[in-house]
Amino acid sequence: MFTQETINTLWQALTISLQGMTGIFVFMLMFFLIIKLIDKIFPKKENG
Amino acid sequence: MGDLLIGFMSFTWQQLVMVAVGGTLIYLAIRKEYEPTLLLPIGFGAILVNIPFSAAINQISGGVEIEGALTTFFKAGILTEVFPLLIFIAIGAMIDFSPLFKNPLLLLFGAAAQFGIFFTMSAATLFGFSLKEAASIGIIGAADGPTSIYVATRFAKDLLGPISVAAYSYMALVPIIQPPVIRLLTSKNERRIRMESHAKTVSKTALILFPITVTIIAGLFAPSAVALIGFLMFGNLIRECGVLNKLSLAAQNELASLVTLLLGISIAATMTADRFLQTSTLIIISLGLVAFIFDTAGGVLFAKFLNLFLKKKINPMIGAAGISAFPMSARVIHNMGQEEDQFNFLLMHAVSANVGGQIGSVIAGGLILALVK
Repeated sequence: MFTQETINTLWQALTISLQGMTGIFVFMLMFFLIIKLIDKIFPKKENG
Repeated sequence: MGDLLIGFMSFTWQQLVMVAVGGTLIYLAIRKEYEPTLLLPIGFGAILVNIPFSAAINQISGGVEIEGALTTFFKAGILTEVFPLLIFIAIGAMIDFSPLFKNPLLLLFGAAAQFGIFFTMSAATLFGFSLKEAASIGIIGAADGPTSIYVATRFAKDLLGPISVAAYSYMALVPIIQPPVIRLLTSKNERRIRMESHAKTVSKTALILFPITVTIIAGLFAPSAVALIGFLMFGNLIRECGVLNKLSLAAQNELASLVTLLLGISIAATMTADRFLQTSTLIIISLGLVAFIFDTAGGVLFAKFLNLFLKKKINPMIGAAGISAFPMSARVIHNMGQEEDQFNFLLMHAVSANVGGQIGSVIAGGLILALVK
């Protein structure tokens, strides 16, 4: 039903999808840690 | 006399259909208020470029090619990526990251709700699209017009018209697309889950350091994403620094308005009948819907997965707000929560996930640029 070229492209797309989703989660985890770190080092000082 | 009628005589049915498409977009923009800032200029531009011998786009006269104004805008603003990047400055100036500091865990939904991008990219390859075209179609799922335009400009210029129309149309249709998907994947009890509010305030230094740090980290790991994320964060730095209020307001208002106007009408330069009236356009528009559905599903299912390990459960609907359509998606989730339990206030949490989605969509765009060769 699908040509070999289509299957190859699909396979590439699936590989990129796996890498992409992993990459986004890694970035978001890093940003999560950055937020935690910045917030810990520079907490909001309450007036008075 | 013959010269005056040449336009009428040369009008093809394909051009007539495109004029109708333009008219429909204008109707949706005005009557339904579907992303009017973009759909109206795109719709009008579609009419402009489909008038026979329109001087708005390139025409050959006496063997010499005469450049049209819209072609000039397209080359100068879109092919150079200037317009989408300027829009990112404006968006950055509009984003308030402080909700994320109150509950940073919700940032992860900004990752999970990008699932539709990759699912659609893979699905698009089955319709015979090349990898780069499939990636450009998948990025409709970023629910972020400028990112879609940015990636499509790099990978599939010819598909820019249908991709932009799909991206902006579905962003406007978030209140119609998301609720059925969420209801399908969640039980009534799950939709009633209440979440604790975080009344914490965030220091100005933290809000200033965040865009700078994110730009450096993102740039070091994915240099190809640095323009996208950098311009977004630059806009945010202008907002948060506290000494550039005039520039911040200009970015949020005048810059955003002017560039959006030019962006919309320039995209229309690609919407000539011969390019737009293809089977591929219908497939792209259908796949765009698939992308939004699977984004929503990805966010909701990830929230349900997290709930397996969390003591304080997350309302799984919050996951759906991890798409970039801000603040529409957050409002949809809040309203759905209130339909189930009028004392359930999910807005703040949904806004946090939604802000996470804005970062996630830009990162997804950058990663696609880096990974697709």
